[in-house]
Amino acid sequence: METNKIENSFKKLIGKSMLEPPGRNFEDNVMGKVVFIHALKQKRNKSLKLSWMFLIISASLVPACYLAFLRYIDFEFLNSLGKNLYNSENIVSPAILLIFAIIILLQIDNLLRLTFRTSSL
Amino acid sequence: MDDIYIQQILKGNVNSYRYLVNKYKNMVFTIARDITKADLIAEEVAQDTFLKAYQNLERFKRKAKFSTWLYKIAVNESLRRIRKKRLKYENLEDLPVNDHQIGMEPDAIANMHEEEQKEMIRNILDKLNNNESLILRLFYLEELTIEEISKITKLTRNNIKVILYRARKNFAARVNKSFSFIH
Repeated sequence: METNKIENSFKKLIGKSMLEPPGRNFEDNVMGKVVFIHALKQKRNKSLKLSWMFLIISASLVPACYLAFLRYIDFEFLNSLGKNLYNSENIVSPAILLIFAIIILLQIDNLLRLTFRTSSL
Repeated sequence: MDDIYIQQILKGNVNSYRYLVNKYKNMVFTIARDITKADLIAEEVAQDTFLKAYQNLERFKRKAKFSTWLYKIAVNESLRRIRKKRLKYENLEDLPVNDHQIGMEPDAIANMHEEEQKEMIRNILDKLNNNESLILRLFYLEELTIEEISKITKLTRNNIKVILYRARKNFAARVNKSFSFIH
């Protein structure tokens, strides 16, 4: 009984101890920053989508165009310009393909990092 | 009710967040004030708490109440700020144990004006140790359970019980002292 009375007294007294932020525009300040973050996040998401789209397009289109280029290219005409530099073997060299694969992988890595960093914003 | 607004925010309706800010701003500020013991820093902490909560809302698992999650962020932010500014924070071990009996004269306080009462109680809580005022407020003002307070403060349940006991004694002693000083 006595304990309940004391507990109620605590509840009653400490119930009056709620504080308020001293700044008048606290709510507006927070909401202003939240809206800014939201807009930034949306802008980044849009840029990210575009980046992924262009990466996928370039990763598939560039090799396709390259192969098409090799198929229809006039090697005789090219060789007439120099000293027999061009043939299908040295144009489709593994080095070129490796460089292309490295560039694509680096881009994927960068975009993945950016995507995960943005989602935690 | 909070869940509905959280769903709205996650769907992109950013203005729904105003409801949560309005509902919890006082308690978040109060928690920050209890720990930092400084108005300006507490206001900054409260703002940062709401921004952090907004940025991590997708990660909020609905297992706990939103308020518990938010208060936990507020406590962490306050402690981070204290470390950064090297403000004084008294740990449980630093507390002197007083031998007062828990007993108050609330009837005498009831005769005071509402604003005087509030001012006196706030002053008394302000003089208490950071942990004590925080836990008293979470327990009596927010009516949280020991379990919920434990999640927010990362203190063990036994620690919280000890702090709560000391806080009650210190608070009661100070209330009685203030009352005897007034009269």
